[in-house]
Amino acid sequence: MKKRNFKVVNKPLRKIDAMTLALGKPSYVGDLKPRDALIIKMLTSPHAHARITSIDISEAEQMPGVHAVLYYGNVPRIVHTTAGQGYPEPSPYDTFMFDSKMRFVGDRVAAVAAETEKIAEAALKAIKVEYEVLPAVLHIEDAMKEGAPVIHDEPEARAVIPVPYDKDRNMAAKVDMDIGEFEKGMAEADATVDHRFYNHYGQHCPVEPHVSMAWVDREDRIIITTSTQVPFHCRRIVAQTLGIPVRRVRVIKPRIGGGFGAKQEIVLEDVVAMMALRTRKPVYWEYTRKEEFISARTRHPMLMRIRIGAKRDGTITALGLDCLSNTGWNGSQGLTVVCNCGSKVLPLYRCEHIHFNGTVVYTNLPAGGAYRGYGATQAAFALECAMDEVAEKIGMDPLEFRAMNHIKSGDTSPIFRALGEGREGVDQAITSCELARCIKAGAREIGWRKRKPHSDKKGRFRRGLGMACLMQGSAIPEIDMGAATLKMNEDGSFNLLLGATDLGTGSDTVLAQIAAETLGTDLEQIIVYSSDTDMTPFDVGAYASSTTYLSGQAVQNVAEKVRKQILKVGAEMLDRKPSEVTVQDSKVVEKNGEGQVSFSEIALYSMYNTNQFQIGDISSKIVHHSPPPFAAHFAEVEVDTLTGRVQLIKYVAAADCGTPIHPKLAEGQVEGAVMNGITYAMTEQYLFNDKGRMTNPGFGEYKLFTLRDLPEMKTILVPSYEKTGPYGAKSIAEIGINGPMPAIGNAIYNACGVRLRSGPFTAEKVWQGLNGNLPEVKSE
Amino acid sequence: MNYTDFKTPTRLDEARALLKELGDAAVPVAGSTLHVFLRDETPRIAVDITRLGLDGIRREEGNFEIGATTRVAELLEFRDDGWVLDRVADAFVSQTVRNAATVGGSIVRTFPWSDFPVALLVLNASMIITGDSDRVVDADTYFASQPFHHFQPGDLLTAIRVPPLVAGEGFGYHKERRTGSDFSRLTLAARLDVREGRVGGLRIAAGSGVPLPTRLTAVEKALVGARPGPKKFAEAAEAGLEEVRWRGSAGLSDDYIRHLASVRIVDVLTQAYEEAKGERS
Repeated sequence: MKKRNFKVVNKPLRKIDAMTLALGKPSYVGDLKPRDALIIKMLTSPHAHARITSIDISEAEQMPGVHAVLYYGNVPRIVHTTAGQGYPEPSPYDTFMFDSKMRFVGDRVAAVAAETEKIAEAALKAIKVEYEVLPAVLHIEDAMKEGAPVIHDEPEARAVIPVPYDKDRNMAAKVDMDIGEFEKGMAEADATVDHRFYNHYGQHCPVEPHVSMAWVDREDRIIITTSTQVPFHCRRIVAQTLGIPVRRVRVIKPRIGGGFGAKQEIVLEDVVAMMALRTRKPVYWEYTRKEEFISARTRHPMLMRIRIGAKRDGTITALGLDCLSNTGWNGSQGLTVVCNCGSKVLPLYRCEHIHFNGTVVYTNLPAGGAYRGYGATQAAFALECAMDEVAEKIGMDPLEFRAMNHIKSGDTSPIFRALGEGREGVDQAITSCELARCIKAGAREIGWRKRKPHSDKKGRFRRGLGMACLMQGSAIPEIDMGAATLKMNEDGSFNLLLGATDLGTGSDTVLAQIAAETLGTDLEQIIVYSSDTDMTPFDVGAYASSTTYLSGQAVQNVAEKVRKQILKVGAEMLDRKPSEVTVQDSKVVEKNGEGQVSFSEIALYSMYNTNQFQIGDISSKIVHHSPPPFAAHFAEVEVDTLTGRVQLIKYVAAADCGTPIHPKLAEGQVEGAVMNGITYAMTEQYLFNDKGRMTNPGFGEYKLFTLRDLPEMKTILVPSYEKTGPYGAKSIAEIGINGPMPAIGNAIYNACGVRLRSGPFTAEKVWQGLNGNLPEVKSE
Repeated sequence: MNYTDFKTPTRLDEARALLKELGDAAVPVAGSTLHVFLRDETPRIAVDITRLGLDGIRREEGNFEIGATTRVAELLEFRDDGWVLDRVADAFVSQTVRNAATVGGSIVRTFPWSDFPVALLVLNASMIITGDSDRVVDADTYFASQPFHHFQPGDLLTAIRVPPLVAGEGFGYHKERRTGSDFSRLTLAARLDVREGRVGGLRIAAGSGVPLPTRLTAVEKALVGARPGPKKFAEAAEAGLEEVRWRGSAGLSDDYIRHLASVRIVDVLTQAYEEAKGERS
């Protein structure tokens, strides 16, 4: 594949669903709710750790308008994971549809399906429950202490793949990696840093919360319409959880109002399916915002120890990262997230002696899950802040230190082989890397040359500059698979059936662009349908920065196959050999320019005239590389040294995502991710009381930046050409979220000399730092 | 709120009669933004008071008279000599909420984080209540406790009277928040006048960070008659710290809010002083 002048790809064309969404046409699960749908409401545990000693649902069941009440006593007890991952899942099986053991404030006790929300809520109040309250684990540091309460003491809990798992010690997963001799590398260093960092809880906060509905059709199949990133995993896990064959479940994904990883989980679908079976009526369940915060999924909070050794000349001699990850009440995505802390961050810098450990522990707190960045966000904070600290110790500009050490095209890293997602990884060399240009472009934009040390700054308000370098991946190599079906219609249009899921990213448009470019037609000729497990081919779904790179290759492959069929029919119609014709502007044309037939004529010919057949094909794809996108982020802040208040003045993100298939959407992904990361760094915070109850589960108290809070922002797309990707593309959706924590943290230090090693960067923390009273880094 | 009916009177006397007749079963509503915070599920009848002609800002005998159903957005847009409430409105949640919320609704019930009570206290505003006996309640009395104490069934807050700033006076205002749409973590406002190089009069008040919006009379006493300046302001702020119990929220400690108050008291005094001197841009 060579770089060429594109006609559809690399163009900011109108999104194929733009008008539908702009006009507010029914598109989302909530828009499609049948009028007679029963409403589901869930009674949840008030205790962080407890055992139900008695439960009486009889009064609730008998209430007029109540159609069913589910609890652990009347549903199958089948252990499973809620993580929407490939099979066999790397997450432990530790969850039941309902259980008599409560493992966090918000755990499922009983569900009601009723004719109205009010009746359902009244029925919840009529359920009588008594609990034996148990001691709880509310801090990561306590989870594996001798005598700690065991959260998963049920016999069924187990790891599915051969990875360390010790439920008796609340250990949900563990991974170790050592390359070279780490301690020797530290000993060889002229300067070392050894610090603890803490990444706090954070929530995806999609505009559309989790929402699902289900009904049973006349063939006794359960039809689930749900806001999911993983329709096929959803189908498989629902069938498993209900103990029914996969063939009895159909999952339809309409438009999604944001996912960011939150919807890579089976959070509602098992219950809506069970309720549909039980009531034989359509049922609908939508999380409130409070439920979304407490009972959906979060970013895995982590305590990290980062160690770096470097020589005075800037050579990094040792790189070590130990992560203690809080997976909460279940182990969803715990192993793979912590693996990514190593695999998506540590290869960024060349080093011979590397140590990595990730230990994942259960606590009686909300569960972690997939979240944009997926471990790289946590590790980038520790590594990139520590890089600044080492640079200062050896007297180098942190930009120069990074520029000297970062991975480059042609390089490889032993980490790629050593650390995969729950298993050994895949060797790969970097085939496209424009990080050096990202650094230069970003530095120019932020005005890096004017940067001075904090010791030179005076006055109440002090400005500072900080930076961070980043990498991520593009799909999970040799694990995940995408597929696409393409068929031609009489008018020369095409149905593109995708298992991939557009969760608001615009991937339907991007994949349609790839198809149109390959076919030699316009974007308007591509009719996209995604996703429906009955109708569209299998795709793992939208996660791991995979859609453009992985599903995009499946689309490119199938479009190439269909293009060949079109050429063959067109050549036959023109009485030429296929080698004598080509496609151009929705036509097959003779290369000598003499004759041409339109796609419509070709379709009609193939359907109605001679040797009839359906022009169309299916193609699937797994990838053997996961080419990282790269980025350099820069932040400028102003710190009020009297109050500690941090004002973000400017943020620059320069990113290399290969060929941006749709440059505006790619920019949007960077800006969205950066804003996501900024608000995580600055304001987002789960507050818990001493019983493990979240005390701020709403946007009134859990604050997100809105557009009016944004600093001046600049996004720079630095093009490269990734030869393994579709039309040179790599991923872009996740990487941007990883930069704000370290870049802003470094900028605060540069402004006032306060090094914050835990988020969010509240004014109070900066004030404490200015007064030398910063508390020890620990979980919050 | 659980509304069972919606009444739309078009005259003040009609609205008052309805409210009086219905008693506790009725609730006057205008912007309805307050209802987000009311958890009462008792069935109520909403009496819409937005058609009574109680909106708009006008000069009345030298004062500003703000109709109770005037939208906060209008306070932001209004301009006249001595008008300062645009600064309060500017920090009020978001334009979406400003377009709906009314100034009256913002002060008929106060929360620790309420914005307008703090400003109205220092501006020495008066609340005009129309009822069987019409009355004017000064801000100190009105905000001394929850304002519902001032209302009988059928009474309505119809306007707020605000004296304008005059030459030699300045106004300072600060709302501490994490984002533009955040609740206040600490609100401070000051109105100060300078006569012959000394503080002639001062009203300063705090909201949020304290249980209810309140005047900081110790700061006022420490400054009236004194020569204004950073050092004197800081000394006065220290006096203010002892006057009330400062409390943190949303993850901020009591100690930090107390410290923050010491800084922001000085900030609002400085703002007001600079404006009084004609130096504020």
